Amino acid sequence: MKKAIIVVYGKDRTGIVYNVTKILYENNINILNIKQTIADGYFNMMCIADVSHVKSLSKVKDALEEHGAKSGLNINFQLEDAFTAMHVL
Amino acid sequence: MSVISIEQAIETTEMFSREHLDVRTITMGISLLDTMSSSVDSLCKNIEKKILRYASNLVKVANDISDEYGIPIVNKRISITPMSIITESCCKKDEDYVKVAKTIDNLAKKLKVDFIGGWSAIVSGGLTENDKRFLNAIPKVLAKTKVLCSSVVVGSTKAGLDMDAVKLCGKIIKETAKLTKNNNSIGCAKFVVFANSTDDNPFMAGAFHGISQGEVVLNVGVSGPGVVRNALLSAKNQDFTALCETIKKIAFKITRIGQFVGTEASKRLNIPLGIIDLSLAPTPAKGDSVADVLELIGLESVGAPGTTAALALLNDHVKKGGIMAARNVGGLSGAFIPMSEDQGMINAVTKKALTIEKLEAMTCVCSVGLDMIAIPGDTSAETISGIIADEMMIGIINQKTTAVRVIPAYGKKAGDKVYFGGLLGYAPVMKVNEFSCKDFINRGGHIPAPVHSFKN
Repeated sequence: MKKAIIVVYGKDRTGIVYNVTKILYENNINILNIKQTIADGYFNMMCIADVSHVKSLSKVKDALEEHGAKSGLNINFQLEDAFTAMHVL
Repeated sequence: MSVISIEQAIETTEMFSREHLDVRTITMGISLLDTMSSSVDSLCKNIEKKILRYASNLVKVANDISDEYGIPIVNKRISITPMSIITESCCKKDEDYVKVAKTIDNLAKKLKVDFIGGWSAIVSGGLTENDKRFLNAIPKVLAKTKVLCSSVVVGSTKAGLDMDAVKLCGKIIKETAKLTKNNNSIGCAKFVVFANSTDDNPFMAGAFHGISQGEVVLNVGVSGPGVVRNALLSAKNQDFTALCETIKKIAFKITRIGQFVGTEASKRLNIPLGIIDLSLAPTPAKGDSVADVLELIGLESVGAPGTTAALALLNDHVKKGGIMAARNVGGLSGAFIPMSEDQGMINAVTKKALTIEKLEAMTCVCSVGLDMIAIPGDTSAETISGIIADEMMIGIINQKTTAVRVIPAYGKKAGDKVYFGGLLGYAPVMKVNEFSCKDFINRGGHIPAPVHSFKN
């Protein structure tokens, strides 16, 4: 299974999870794990998703980044391997 | 369940998006030993065939990895067998060398690689007639090519220092500055003089695929002064023991990314992974500066007393952290202190906190040497050779790599600025000691290997 990590952070407001997961749904991406915290009004979310059935990863990346830019959020979409390389022995 | 926490995920994305963490270079080393020929034309054809066979997909694969994993890979490069060996049997005139060099340069442009290194000669033990011809043609070669990099190894702990070659290198640098004067003497930015160079260095301008290496190999250079800087921002009140631990931990993380990218590229290109070079290589980008890191350790400015000690501990702990993260460490490994590519260094020179003499002291404990330093255009060839001799001896006596890449910027004087563009940035022209070393350099000959090289 090919997995990606989506990290979203920025000032908290309504609809952040809704809008991000909508983009994932539209691109046939199944969410495997989702964690979210709010600290001092700041929203942090990390989502691990199955991207095995995605035709174009760059299309998803662009869509998420475009949404992030529009709504003042930092949204990063990367394959999981780089994270495990850095943090897991 | 993933073992990655939100904090770790954010830490990683921040490193890439804000702290300029990148893989500085993927460098493919290719042996050209089987391309030798007695005719210049067939040598050119053989080189083209050989490089295309292995490197056609290098840029595409690096870009794919970069896109998929969100890891910037800044430079894609090729290093080749030292060309003084490869050209020996057919190149007799300057024009022959220029023809071969242009073939390689055009090939690099066609493959869209950023640099190709290996227009090199190893003359630590002395110059052959071929070496002399090859060295004398270097200024023309650098003036007629764009991305081809050249280096000359003039000394080693085992062989001593060839002072005839040191003298010649002073002249090469002056001549190259003149031939490329309309372009801020940029030819000199593509030429480096080495002691104790390594066969597996992925960084330019000194990369070449040494004759000890195999057919083809991928070497990776990581970087991340910005990431170290950020880690040190939250380490303000730590004592040195804790500070060193912080540097080690962050170097480990940076290097793991290099190892990951190298492994992935090696798999996709079906080419063995060579070494990971654990380096802190700055860029002109704000915050991506080795000088900034040194200042965060507690210096008002780089150049202040304490600078050499700070650089030594930084260099050493980058290595200690990185060694465990990489399968095979090599290259130059350490902190680079190039002048033009580091805004913090430029600031220190501009406010007169940092001199060339202090930089020389710093090179005793850092990864390489006097790098990308602009000096007045009227600096004599002998003085440049004197600077080279000093720096080479630091390497030879201390059994480490040292290098000199100076740019006697044509028509410029101390205090002026020279612009190179791109990753090379700009450099303030630094004052050079004006007392003469002419008689010292004109002695010629060879300085024998130091006593501690006799280990057998």
